Amino acid sequence: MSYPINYPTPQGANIQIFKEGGTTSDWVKPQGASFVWFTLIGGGGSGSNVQGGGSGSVTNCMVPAFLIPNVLQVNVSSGESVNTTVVYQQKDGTGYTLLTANASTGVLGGVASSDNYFSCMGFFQSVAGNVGSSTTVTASTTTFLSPGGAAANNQTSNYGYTSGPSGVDRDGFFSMSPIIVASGGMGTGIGGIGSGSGENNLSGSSPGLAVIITW
Amino acid sequence: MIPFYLPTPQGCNIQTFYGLAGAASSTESRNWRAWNKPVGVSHIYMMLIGGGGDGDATNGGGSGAVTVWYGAAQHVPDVLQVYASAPSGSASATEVAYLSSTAGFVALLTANSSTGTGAAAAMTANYFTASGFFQSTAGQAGPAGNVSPSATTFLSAGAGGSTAGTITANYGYTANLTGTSGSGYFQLQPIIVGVGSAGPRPSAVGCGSGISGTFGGPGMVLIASW
Repeated sequence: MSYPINYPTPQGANIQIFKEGGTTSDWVKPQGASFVWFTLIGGGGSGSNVQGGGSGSVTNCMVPAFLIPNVLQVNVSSGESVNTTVVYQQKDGTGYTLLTANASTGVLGGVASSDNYFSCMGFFQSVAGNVGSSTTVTASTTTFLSPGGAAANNQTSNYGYTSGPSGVDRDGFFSMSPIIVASGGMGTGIGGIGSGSGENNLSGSSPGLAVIITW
Repeated sequence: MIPFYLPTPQGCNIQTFYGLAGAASSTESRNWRAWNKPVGVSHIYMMLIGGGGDGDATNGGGSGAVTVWYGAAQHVPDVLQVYASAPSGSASATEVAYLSSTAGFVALLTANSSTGTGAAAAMTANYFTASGFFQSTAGQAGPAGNVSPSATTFLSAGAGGSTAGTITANYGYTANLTGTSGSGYFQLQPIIVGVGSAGPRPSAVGCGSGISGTFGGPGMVLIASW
């Protein structure tokens, strides 16, 4: 009898991650799916020499798989002022935006989006990003994304994560496991996905992300 | 004998209940149908759609409310009673109820019907909705002219105006582009959407009818479990 080697994924769900900022990709609904979960993250903002960049908004939505199209278009934010969206492309070429996670616009946090005609069939939440800091960055009480701040100051994200000690320019990071969290950049550093860049990074901004899970 | 197996595209059990003509009152027990919880399910999703309203001499009929609930099957009785609003401006809301041995029909979820040209109101959260995720969205009011896509619901109102207005619903779906009269329609795929009617033509699930029409769409209940 052969040993039934099995390499299961940790989850029983189909998880598709769209993480290349500035790209447009198709999401194809897996066979047998009952429900679909969307997590969209808007891009982070750049600094202003006075303030760090803001963080993007986060939009979550859960809808029945049998009431949505088999193919959706996913647009991942390339950075500030470019939103992450999920679009239904009609056969006549017209695109209808179903979900949006607004990107940060510079030092401002991404604005939360509103419930709409698509999400009314399911459950929806959108959380605004945070404004960039001119000094220390502390953990947000409303989102797992962090804004950017100044090099000379401390940076603390949620769950005790930090981009490193104060006094140096440093990039942020983004993590999905063991828990989803991101940190912004400090000084000239760039933020992790959806997070703000440091106050002295005037042109770099972090991309967004889209995660679509079906089960 | 070959055990024929007809797979559904989804991995879940889906049961739909549509409003019946003549079942205008939810107070009559004959208008209720039963939903039985499939064996082995752990999650349940319910969508209720209220009936569409009838138009009057000026405005089209309003569309019904949409109520959704998602939660653990553990928190749902094995048998539920379902009433889907009758077509043509039923005053009764679409409802999912628990038939209690002591208290009779106890409403768990409702989706209000439009009773005319107004938008059906959303349901308020209650004792049952606290056991899961809940959302209820109001309908769209019937306009005096053309219908534009709603920003908040996928159910469209009926068209108004002295000459029947045109209807543009969500995702570019339309009706009566010639401005004479047109029937409404409702679909679940490729995406859920309902389009109201214009003039004296029948509407579709949850959607309003045209001016002077008495054809507001019926309600619907969809219960999915897996």
